Amino acid sequence: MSDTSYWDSYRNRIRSKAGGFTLNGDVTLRGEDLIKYIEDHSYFQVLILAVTGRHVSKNIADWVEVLFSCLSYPDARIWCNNIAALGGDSKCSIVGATAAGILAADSSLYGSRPILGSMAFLETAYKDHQTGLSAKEIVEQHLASNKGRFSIVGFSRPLATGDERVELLRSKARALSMLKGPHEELAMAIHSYASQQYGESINMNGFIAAVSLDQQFTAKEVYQLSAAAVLSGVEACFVDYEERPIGTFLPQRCDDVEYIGPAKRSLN
Amino acid sequence: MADRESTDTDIVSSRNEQFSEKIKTKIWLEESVDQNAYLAKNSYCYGYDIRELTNGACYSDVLYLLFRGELPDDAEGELFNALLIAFINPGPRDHGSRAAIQAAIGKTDSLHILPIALTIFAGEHNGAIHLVETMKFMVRLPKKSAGERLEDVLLNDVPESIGFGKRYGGCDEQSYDLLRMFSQMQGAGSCLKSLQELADELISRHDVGILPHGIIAAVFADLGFLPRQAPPLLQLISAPGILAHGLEFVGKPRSHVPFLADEFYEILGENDDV
Repeated sequence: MSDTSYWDSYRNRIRSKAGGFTLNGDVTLRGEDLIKYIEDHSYFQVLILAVTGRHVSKNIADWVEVLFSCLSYPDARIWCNNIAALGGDSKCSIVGATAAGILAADSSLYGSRPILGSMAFLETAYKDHQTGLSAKEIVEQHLASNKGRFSIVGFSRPLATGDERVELLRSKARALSMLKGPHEELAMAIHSYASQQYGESINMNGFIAAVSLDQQFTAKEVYQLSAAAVLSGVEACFVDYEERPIGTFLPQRCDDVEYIGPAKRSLN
Repeated sequence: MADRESTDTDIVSSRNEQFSEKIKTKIWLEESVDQNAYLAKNSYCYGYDIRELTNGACYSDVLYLLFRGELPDDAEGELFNALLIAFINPGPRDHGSRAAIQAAIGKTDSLHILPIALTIFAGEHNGAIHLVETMKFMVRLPKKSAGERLEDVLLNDVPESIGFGKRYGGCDEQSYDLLRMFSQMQGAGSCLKSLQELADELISRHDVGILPHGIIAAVFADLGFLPRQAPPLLQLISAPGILAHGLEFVGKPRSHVPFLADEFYEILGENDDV
């Protein structure tokens, strides 16, 4: 006879740390009276509380909001937006297409997932730096363990080198009184060396990783916080094509697909 | 006033990557009608005319063709068909099915039920997320000695990650029965047979069970599927049952699914034990 008391204790019962709504009108989020909390907190403060359980100042929440705006370019060639545009062209539900776009951005190439790699790299790099390794030595150590290939997450942007968003995020951070911390200092030193030696530069992901570490966020928290960060670009691309005649988003002729499979054959 | 420290991060230049001008596929050929390049006249799946397949092949064989590139022989076809049936429905208690039921009873657009449910299905609870590692383990299984196989499972901190362990504190007898059925089929190869030997030993002497994704991985391995194909293929295989559970609740009053009363919904503080 198996001992099932562990599962029995959870049957027909929810013990929520997130919060909840009682039918007499009380609503709680992470132990806070949500209705009161909303009075003097921004949406991003609420979001950060919901995801991490932490109360952050409005400045930090405002910076995370900027991060969201930066993560969501409305370019229909970007994979998640392309999917949303296909949804718009097919006249799918906007919620379905948006969910599909957000799901697509759970990618190792772009979207929210690379932050896990960039924060892991910077955390390790910072520990190495504290034991005496310079930015140059950190980069060279990475290359040596990677067959000489430069592929540091956060310092090698797909499609382009350089990143127009880093300066915005940096100046916003300073304007919001978020001082340059040791991870950002090291990240920019790595950027300088990588830029001079290998033509690679810090991208938004790497910069967010550095500032997030300086603000004591964990990689998992930032990944979870940015789950829906591509929202505005995805929706923009959906709506753009949803308003047009069906079938106008990159229509393909039969010969636009190249067949490279077996020759025609028969079952007999 | 923001600090205007100068950086060179905003010098953006293209990597000039070379992208393919067309997508290439081995799977499907479409030939257009003479007067309209967009309209297909003939469609071929790995070289077979879809009309001929429609008339002369069974569904599971064509499914196999789509993912393996060749039609199965009789033994392979029998094994694959058995896999499709055995795991066609993870049951109403599976997290994917429960998500489907919640969507349906919540009057979500019925077109969303399957995508919602398959997303939730793709987790650790039923092993979908472990299938890549489990398949890699099963592929190597025949090359290992009996002792090595046992050690790999018994010394593994997370045996679920390679297809073994208990469910709700007990060994899964249904899975063990299914494994015996699969390993005795003509199409069973060295992976299923090695797994049967290992499972016999684990259950009889070590009280460690075989999990459904362990069996699925061994069948995929014997049929020549790739590890990376396994998790989404499991979504496909189990989709019919998951959808059926959702559709059963479309249009039903919301009272047909439990909604816990306040007394069973406890709101905890940050430091409370769950």
